[in-house]
Amino acid sequence: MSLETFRNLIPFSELLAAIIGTIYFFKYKHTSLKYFLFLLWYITLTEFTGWYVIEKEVLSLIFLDENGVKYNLWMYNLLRFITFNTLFFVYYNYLNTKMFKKWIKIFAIIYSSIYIINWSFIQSFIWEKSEIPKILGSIFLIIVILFYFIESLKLEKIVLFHKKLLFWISIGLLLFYTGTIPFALKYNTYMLIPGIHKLFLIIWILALIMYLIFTFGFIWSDKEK
Amino acid sequence: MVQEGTTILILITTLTVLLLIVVIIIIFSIFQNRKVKFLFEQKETKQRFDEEIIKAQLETQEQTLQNISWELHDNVGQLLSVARMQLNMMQPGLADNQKSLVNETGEIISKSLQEIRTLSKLLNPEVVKNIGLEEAVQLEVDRFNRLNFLRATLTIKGDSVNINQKEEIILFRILQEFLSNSLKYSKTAKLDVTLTYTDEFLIIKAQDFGVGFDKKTTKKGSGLLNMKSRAKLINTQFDFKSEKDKGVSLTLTYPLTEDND
Repeated sequence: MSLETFRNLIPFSELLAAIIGTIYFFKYKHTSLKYFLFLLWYITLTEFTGWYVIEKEVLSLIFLDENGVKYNLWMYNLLRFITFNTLFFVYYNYLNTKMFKKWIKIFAIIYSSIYIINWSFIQSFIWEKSEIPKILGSIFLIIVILFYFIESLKLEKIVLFHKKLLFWISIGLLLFYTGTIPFALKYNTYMLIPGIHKLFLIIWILALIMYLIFTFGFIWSDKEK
Repeated sequence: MVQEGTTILILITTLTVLLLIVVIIIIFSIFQNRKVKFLFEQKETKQRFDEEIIKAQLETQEQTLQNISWELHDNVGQLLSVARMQLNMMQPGLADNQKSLVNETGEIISKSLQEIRTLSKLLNPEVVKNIGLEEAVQLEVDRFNRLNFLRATLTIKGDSVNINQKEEIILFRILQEFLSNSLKYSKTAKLDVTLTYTDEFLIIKAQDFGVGFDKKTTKKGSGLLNMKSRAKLINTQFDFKSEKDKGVSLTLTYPLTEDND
């Protein structure tokens, strides 16, 4: 299997997770987890339109540099900004501990400010993938997921955690967002290498695993109360 | 532009970080499992404790009832017997008009004696154990009918099976409490009791057709709660229905398992 075809699997794994999530929407429609499903659909949509605008050269949505290379990175940069904030929002609503909630709010504010500062002064919104805020966002997200773990450990109720949708979502997110931090440090350098570098496989494999874990979580989890 | 060393470094750090995350998830799962197990055990201990309390209460109650039963039978019963004997001895020396009066008094005493004996029987757990559930219920129903203001019936369906004596007593006491409540409060003219034996269950249904009460407005008394917790003690399903002006019904579904003797 060539690297290209492997990459092309990702949007379909996203689509699969979104479809299965919609089928099992009744399990969690009363909770903030519904925003997670909206996020999944938004990710899938971005992925497919991102591919479409490059293939069909929709000039109103892409940017060309002086060598005629097509750039749709702004879509992904915007997606990432919304992804992290939505995830913070989901956990913010799901958790009950006041201190954790306060910190999630602070994280979201810091993250959003850094993102905007980064676009304004450091990295280009159009020509570069915003990797610096991504690393920060990933670290914040890992802490938020640990908050979730701590809170469920402290809970004095009998809860079968492996039947919880958010547990599986957390595992998927943890694997992807920690595993991609080291590569994110040098992402834009590797982007400039002609052809596709093997290292991109890390991201794709992790992404694939993450979406498969989400899909499994939707099917396996019990109805939320 | 990119050194081979950087690629390897990125690869190694990624793997390390991933390993770390997997370890965190495993530790979390272990702790979570242990916590759930601990909570389960705690819950079970509490349940056992509650059951022990109910059992102790029941034993005390049965003991008290037995004492009352003995007291009625040996003390009050004896006194009434002596009174009847003395009346009989007086009889020959009396004038005719007084004779019939004394006769009537004697009959009243006989009736009282009979009532007290039945009551004593029904209160004594040993007797109930001996005669069995069906006969005990029959005695209770007969006693109600003698009161002359309601009609009580007992219907038995299916082939009767011997059930555990201790549990038999508990079933009987629940039913007894229900029936005496109906008698006291429902103003009913009709009381139906049905015992149905199926392959798996003994279903006891008791129903009155009196004033009933509204479950929402009436505060839960200790009687109902008591009946419920006793039923739970012997794994019996407890269904209590009440409708205003239509009456009250109680259904006990008792599992007939093989270890019953």
